[in-house]
Amino acid sequence: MSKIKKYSATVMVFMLALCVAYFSVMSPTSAWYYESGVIDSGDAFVFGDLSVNTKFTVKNPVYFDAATKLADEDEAMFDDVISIDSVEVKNSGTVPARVYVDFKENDGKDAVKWFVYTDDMLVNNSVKETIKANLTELSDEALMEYNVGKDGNSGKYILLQPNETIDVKVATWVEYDEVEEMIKGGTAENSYDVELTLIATQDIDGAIKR
Amino acid sequence: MLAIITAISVVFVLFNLVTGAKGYAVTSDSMKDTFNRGDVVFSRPCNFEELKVGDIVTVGVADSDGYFTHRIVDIDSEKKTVTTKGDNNNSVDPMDTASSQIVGKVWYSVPLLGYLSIYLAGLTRTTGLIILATIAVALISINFILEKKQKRRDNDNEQN
Repeated sequence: MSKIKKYSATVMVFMLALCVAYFSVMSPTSAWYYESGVIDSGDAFVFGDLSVNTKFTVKNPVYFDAATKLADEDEAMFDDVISIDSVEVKNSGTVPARVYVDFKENDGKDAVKWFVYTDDMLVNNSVKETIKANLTELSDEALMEYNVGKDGNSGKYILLQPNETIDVKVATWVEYDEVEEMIKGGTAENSYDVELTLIATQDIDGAIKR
Repeated sequence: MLAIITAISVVFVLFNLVTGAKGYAVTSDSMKDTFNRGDVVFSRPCNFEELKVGDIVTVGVADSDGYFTHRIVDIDSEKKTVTTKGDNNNSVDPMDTASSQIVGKVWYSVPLLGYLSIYLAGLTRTTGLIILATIAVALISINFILEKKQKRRDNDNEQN
């Protein structure tokens, strides 16, 4: 009887060990989620391995000497009046990452438009030519679709390999038919309080084995 | 005691194997409050047509052995894709998920069980086996001590 008891205890332990092994080899499930808040305040956005999506926000005013109009084919001064913000982005981690950009004018002025690009995208060294080459048409809708996507969450992103550094540039301008008279006539500079947010995420969704 | 723990564990494992449920250890907080880090979610395969907005699905990532488990916030029946979002995220996931990537719909979850997998995932196979063997020896020892105590108590009762 005690022998049976002894063997049954061993069998039970063996089965329990198998169960523990079963629970131990479960696949991990993890995913996109955002680390909120401003994580840096300089002009460089450095992130490492992305177990979370990291967010970098720059708040600063932009100045415009004059207004312009993207859809105006005859507007020759477009490249002269736009403002360009540049943020050095570095992927210091070991997995490829993508960086999305979002832009907000804090007073909700729709006149301020924006376009995200990198230097290697430039066409004829002109931002307007680059915009033309990347948009289906020169309209607000096409511009927004390029910047943030149709659903507001799948727009242009910059891909960075591990240890790669890229200057991400955002061109901003105000459209002359949407602003007040002062800047419309090009007689005075005007400033807008803008917020630029860069979000770094894993290039592939889900968990990454390191 | 050991018999009870073993019985519960074996029944639980068999239940999942028979029903086709597969467990995934939650390692991040994207679904915080619904699932927390350390929980295990059990997902069962399902047809795309069965899915509805509000369901939580486990998605396998193409070209990777990774998974994520998020809630469906939109379904495109024509394209056979779903838009997912973590309950704790500010916005929807950047990419839509094709039906072929959905490995299952979350059926139920067990808190804390996932820590076993999370901690052991960082170990080598040899270290894992050593830990398992140690657990087994520890369980046998505990069982042996408890039995001895019970025997002594029985003897004391008989003498009294």
